[in-house]
Amino acid sequence: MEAPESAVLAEMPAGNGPGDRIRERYELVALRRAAGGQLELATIPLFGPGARSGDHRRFRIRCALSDEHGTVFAVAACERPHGHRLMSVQSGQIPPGSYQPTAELVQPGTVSFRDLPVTLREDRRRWGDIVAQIPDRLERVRPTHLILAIETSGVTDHVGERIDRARQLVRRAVDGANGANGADDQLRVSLLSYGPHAVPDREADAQVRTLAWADTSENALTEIAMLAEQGAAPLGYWRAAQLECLLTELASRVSNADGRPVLVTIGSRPAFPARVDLASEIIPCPRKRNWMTAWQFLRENLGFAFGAITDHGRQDEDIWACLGSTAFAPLSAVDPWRFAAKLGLAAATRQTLPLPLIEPEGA
Amino acid sequence: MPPAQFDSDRLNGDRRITMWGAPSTGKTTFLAALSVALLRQNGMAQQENGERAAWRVVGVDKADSDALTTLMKTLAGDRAFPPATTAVEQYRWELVGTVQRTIRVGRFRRERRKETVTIPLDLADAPGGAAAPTLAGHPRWEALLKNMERSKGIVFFFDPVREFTDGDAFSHTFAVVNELSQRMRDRQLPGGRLPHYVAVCIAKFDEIRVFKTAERLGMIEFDTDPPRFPRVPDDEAREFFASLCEVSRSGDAEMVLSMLEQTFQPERIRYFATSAIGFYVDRRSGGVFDPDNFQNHVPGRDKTEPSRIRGSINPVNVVEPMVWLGRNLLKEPAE
Repeated sequence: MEAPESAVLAEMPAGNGPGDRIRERYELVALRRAAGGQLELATIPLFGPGARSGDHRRFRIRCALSDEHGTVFAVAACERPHGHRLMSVQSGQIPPGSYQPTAELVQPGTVSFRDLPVTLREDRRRWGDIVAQIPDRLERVRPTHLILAIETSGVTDHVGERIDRARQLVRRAVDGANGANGADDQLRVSLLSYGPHAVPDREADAQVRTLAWADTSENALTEIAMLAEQGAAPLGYWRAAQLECLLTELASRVSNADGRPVLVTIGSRPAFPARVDLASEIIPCPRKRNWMTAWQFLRENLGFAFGAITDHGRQDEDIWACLGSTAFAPLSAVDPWRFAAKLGLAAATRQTLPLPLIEPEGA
Repeated sequence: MPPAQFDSDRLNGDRRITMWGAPSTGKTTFLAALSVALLRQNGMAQQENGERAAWRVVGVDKADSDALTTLMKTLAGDRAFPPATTAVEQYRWELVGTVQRTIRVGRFRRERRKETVTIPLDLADAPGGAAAPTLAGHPRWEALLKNMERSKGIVFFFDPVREFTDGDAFSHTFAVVNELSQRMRDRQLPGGRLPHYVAVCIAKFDEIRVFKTAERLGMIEFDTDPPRFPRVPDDEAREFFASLCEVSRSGDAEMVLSMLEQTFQPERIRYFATSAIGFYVDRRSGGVFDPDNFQNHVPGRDKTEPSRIRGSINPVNVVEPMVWLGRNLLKEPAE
């Protein structure tokens, strides 16, 4: 496949070929990421010379985030050696993701597309205006493992809001992955819930619960919805929550194989200390786990990024200063875009692509 | 020979013990813990040698016994703190002991006999503070002074945690001691000092700040047998008390010590580092005292959630002051 030069793409009305066979190659104009990260125009072959009305062809593309006009499906006729002649421009608001649409040659000069989530409509914008929307480079997000830990015990409204924030963040991370590199499979999501240790000790001690582990964002969102339905667990010991156990368990479980780890903790209470703590007088963790040791391990050995969202919005406790060392926000005032950007879950600005991306072979 | 019963009128006469202290110093909890501790001692003694231990707390009548049972159930069963003194001051309890006494039989013969003695226990003071100087003249104030006047033994509760935060031990003590001295001035007091035996209970030894203070002062010793609980030896408890008084919020607590020793006969004052609920022991990890994890008191949240007890209660030094008082009171002639 040969990339067309944008300079030779002339804006022309869709032309009809004589008879019901076409004499030129018809190609879909798309984008390709060059080795250096630059975006360049490319084409996906649709129909070769001699194709006739009724012929169809299936192909693979990935749609990234688009602006208000949607993703453009532009068909060009290839007139070697004279370059490409634009034949039709249609667009539609297609959610980010991978697609395998089918192109049908309705008649020479007219190509329709199906197997897309929306019906495309004719786009009357000037081709130059569309091309001008193509960013120079693709802001690429590294494969990321987003780990969401939610304190699910306490006041019902607070717990509900925490879960909501988690949902927003996953969606934002998905948007970020799609918007930046058009690959939401670059995002793995884990979901954990936690609460306090049992005090008094004859109550059963609840463990940190893993609801999803390195799963797809879609499955994680399903789990988040189920968590919201369960509602808040009783407050229990009001002074602390088992953050030290959460961090310790992550230290023994997370590997970089699932992507760059990003921990977002959404809660309120501090951790249980490993031993009697004169300053806080919080009862020690029954397993004597030390949150600071685990946190340092996660940061230094696994390169964790840490985001925290707290009910109280304060970082005056050491634990929340550490857990929010990369990004921090109060529960009532989270800017999901900025928060996700700080954690490297998305570009700081919302990158959109006007044309579909060529799906790499084997993707 | 079956144990003989003491002449209760003769013995009980004025051999009362008044439990006295500022509000929230743990008098009711102490009483409940004392009952539990004595019951456990009884159980252990019976296991070891088939005999009952020397002392127990009983109610004077059924209602009093029932109330005591409820207090014990609350503390040991429900792991909650009993209600404040106001709710229990209407009940009457006694410390009952079986003691060996030598008595004269006939003109020349003496015999060692097991005797059962009863010592009434008065819980004095109430939240809001009958011992508070501002309430002088109040009926509770009168009741407190009357109790103390006719008692031979006093358990004085000093709460170092409250002293650290409120610093009101001196103000709660001074007026009572002054008034008591004034009322008893016409009696022939040796050295001009009041004749009571005073067990000064430094309460809440299990609290983290209290325990850590003792630890820093190098005053901790550990029981040799499991669960190897820590203790402040009685001969160091006075110094411990003095050290705790130094960190009083008001700075007045240091005067409590000198006031007690100037008002009562110093040789009749003894200090005990006590804890009604004792230290937490994790049965799942060996069942021995762990200096890294010993808090048994779980403070409540503001006024919405009461304080609780984390594990089983393990009273420390609650029997010893009462036994010390009991033994000393028995030496005293009845009036």
